[in-house]
Amino acid sequence: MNRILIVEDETNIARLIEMSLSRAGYECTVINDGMQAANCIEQNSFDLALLDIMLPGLDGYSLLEYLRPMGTPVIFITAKSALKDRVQGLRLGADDYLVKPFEIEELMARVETVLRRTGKGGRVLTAFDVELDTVSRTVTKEGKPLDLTPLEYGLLEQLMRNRGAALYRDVLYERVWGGEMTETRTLDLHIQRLRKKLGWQDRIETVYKVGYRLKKEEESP
Amino acid sequence: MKFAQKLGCAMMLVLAVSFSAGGCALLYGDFADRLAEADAQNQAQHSLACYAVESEILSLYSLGDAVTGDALAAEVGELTDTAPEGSTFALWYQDRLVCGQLPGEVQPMEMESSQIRYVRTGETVSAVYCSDLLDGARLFSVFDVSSLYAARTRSLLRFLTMEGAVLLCAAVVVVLLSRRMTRPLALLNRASGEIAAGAYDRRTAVPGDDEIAQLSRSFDHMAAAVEDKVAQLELSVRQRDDFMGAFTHELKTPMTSIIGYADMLRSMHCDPDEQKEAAGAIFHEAKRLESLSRKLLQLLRLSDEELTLTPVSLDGVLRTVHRSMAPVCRAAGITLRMPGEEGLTVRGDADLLTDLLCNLIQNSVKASREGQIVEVICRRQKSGSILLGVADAGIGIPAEAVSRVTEPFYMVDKSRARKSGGSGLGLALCSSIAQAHGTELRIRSREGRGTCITVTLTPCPPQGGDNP
Repeated sequence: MNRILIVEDETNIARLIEMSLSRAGYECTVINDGMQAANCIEQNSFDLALLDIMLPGLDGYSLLEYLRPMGTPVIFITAKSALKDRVQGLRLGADDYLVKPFEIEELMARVETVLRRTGKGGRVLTAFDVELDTVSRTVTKEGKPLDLTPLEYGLLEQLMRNRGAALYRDVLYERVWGGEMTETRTLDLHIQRLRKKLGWQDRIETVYKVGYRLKKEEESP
Repeated sequence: MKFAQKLGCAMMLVLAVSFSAGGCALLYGDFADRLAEADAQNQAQHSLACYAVESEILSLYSLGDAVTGDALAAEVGELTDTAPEGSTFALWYQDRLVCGQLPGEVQPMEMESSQIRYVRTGETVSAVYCSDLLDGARLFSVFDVSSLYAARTRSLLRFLTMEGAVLLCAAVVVVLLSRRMTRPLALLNRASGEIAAGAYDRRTAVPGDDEIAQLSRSFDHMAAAVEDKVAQLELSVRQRDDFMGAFTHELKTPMTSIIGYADMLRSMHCDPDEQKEAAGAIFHEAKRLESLSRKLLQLLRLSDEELTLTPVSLDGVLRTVHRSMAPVCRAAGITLRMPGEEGLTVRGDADLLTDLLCNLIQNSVKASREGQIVEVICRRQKSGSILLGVADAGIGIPAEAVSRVTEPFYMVDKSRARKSGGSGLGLALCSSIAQAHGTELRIRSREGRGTCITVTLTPCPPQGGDNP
């Protein structure tokens, strides 16, 4: 489980990032103030830090200097979209740069990419006995490779990323197929096939009037 | 061609022409004098010869001898002997050459009597005098005047050498002078180039009071004006950039929350607590956006439109303010103290003055603790002007921040401002409203003790005469 530090003075945004990352299985620490963040960095170690640039106390650039010696990768999150701001951030040693407003999907993808690039994981998603490799886009069950179509793979990835949450059918369709859902049968059929191939008949749950949900480890029999 | 070169050439031209003309006039005048002098002598010699030949002819006649060529030739020979060196004579008698010869191509019958002609044969210049004598005799006297001409040529050469030397010296002086005179121009040129290239603080400061120094002064004035303008432009660009940067930040931050929470709500079935939290965040962030856009629009309108100020009864304004702010204060547990009605009237805009007071009260409420008092001030000052404002006993503004609080999007404590839904535009708006009324915000604050913000307004005689 990767430990992620979130330094963001906008409590709503900080909470949003925390909720999304926690759901995806990361352990999050949220701090709203630059000085406190500096203290926290000195006392703990993190696998990744998400830093806002304009912070009360110490700004994101200064915090970066605290993080560099520890080798913690950094993603800046800021409303400053001017090229010079981005260049300055990256030149100072940030690993990536995310401009507000961003979508949670994009944040997740970047978090994973940076973790992967810095060799801190983020490559493999695990649920029960199934492992999903996001780089080679392959799935193994009990170490044996499974043959999935790209659409099935996409569905499984969405379910594993949002484990424990009931995902709406239309959003699942939009994210995997792209475009608007015209009828629900296609999605339902793919889910059936996925359950069969994985042997997850009761682990992928149908939520009435909502969609599908991948159970968490502890609630499975 | 450079101006210094042009100036030098013109000066040299004038110098050379005047010097040459003067020199030539002098030389040729002198030469003419000498020639005239020689001419007088030669004329006398010629007359003497004419007289001798005529008297010879007369004496031959009186003796009854025939006038023969030989006799005349002998006489001429005698004359040649007695005449100064270089003089020769030629005599025709009844169209026959008796003796002597004429230089060059002079045709004896072409010349008229008493005529003088100068003839050049090779290096020699001769003056030929001709006179018709008695009995068809014609005497020519030829005098060598080469020495005069040679002297003229020598003088000319000497003069040319001297002129050359003088002009050379003059050229050096002229070059130095013209360079010196045009140096300020080069300075101006360089300075204008540097200013064009961006060195707006460059000045020329040519000393003196000639035209170039005047030009330099005008130029420096211009450069100063340009510098001011450029500084103004840069300032306004920087202000606009700052404004845009702050504005986009203020715009993007709530949008990020709204988009993120909305995406969460629509994509998964959250538990009720999460749903409530997400909906609450969306609501508050959207309210923040709404407040931001409202204030921004008001701010833009204030900067664009010219206000027409009309007499405004402050009692009415205070009633409106009390109506809208009393519930806010009550909810925060703060007492709003209003001044008594005094029937004051000012020149202004009722809606804007209401906004001004509401914004100030909102700020005060945010700065105050429960149980504290926020007081609205409205009274006539000794000078007759009217003081309007709000005072509180809240957290106050740090001294170093007082001058910046009216900048758009400036927030003393960002996180605190966020929690209370501040946009950072309230005081900027108040400041614009004050400016529209031809006055400015007066901010007095002590950190931890409280803040008092007021404007001074122009009173207006009450209408209808219901007040003395």
